[in-house]
Amino acid sequence: MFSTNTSTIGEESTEAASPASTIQNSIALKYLCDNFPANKRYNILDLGPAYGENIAFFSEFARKIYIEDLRDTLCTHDFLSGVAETGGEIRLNVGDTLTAYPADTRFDLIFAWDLFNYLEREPLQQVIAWLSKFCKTGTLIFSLISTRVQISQHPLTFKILDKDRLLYGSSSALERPHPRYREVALLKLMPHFKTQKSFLLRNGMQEYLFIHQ
Amino acid sequence: MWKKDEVSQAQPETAVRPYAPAETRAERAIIGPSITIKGELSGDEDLIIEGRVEGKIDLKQHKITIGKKGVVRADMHAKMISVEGEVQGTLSGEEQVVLCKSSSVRGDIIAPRVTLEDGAKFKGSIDMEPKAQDKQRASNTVSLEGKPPMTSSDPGRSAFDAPKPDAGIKRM
Repeated sequence: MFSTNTSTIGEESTEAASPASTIQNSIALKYLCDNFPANKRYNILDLGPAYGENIAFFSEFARKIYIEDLRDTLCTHDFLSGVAETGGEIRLNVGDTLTAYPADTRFDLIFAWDLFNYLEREPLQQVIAWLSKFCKTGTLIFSLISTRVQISQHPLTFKILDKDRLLYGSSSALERPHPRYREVALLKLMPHFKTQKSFLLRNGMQEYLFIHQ
Repeated sequence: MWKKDEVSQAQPETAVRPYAPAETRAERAIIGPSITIKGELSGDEDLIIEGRVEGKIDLKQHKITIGKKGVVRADMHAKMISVEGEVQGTLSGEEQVVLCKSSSVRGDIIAPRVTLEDGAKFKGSIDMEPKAQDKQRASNTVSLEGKPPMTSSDPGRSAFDAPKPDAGIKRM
């Protein structure tokens, strides 16, 4: 069992009311939950940070949960700016930043959240290639692609409140342009995946469930 | 090197014992901030680490606490593990592993109960599936009550393969 302590839960209420956080419905998450065989346990990869709420949610049906925290990697190493302190261009080196899992590791579900919005084509291809090594037929990726011109400077944070709702959190009021991936272009970067479902939300996010072939 | 921290109610606390015990007469060893240990640690008492440990720690029946200044590069096995500092390695807790808000952990956690406070940084895997011999015991606990039996993931099949009409995740 996974649990969060009482004080953490108390902080959630405060955070939910703050301007930087909003509660949004998630149709894809509900779809996922409603169609998920309940009598099995799954290997889940969360590319985002480890949050007690999410781990508690996953633990209901997870055999093993993997946390990659790519958001921290992107923010900490300033890959988002694309410019190093020395002035030179910096690039996401997948080999250095992503975990080298054992070759027989296979994920059933991958939560990519909004991270694909913050990766240009080349690093996104690298991440997808890395993910593909640990996918099998039927592996699903849950991803949120923004349809807006501007996105938050840093990737948002997402906490699962229940199977219908996510708490979006933003650590920055600044915005930046983003690649604005269209579905066709996105799938070209994801050669082994196709769209299982997609839902356009009122907040401009398009929720995708990509399935590995 | 290790300071015994046997405190009785009759003894007044001193400044050199910052870890005020909630439970009295509990035997605990403390590795202070200036201490570095490389090798294998085992014992029969609780352990508080504020220094640096590299190697392996095995306190199967006891609790390991890695304090805010603690830096551990080791595989740990204990009844309970609580982390406030920095850890790299496998954390195996017979009962529970707690990552406090100040903690930074990279590695694998194996425990039937895992608590993650907001602010804790973690990268690795969490395995909460009890061992086969523990399943019966676990099924009687509150945490796992009402859940279906755990089964292994089925390689090669999608989560959506042949969904059963009544297999909606009511548990979720």
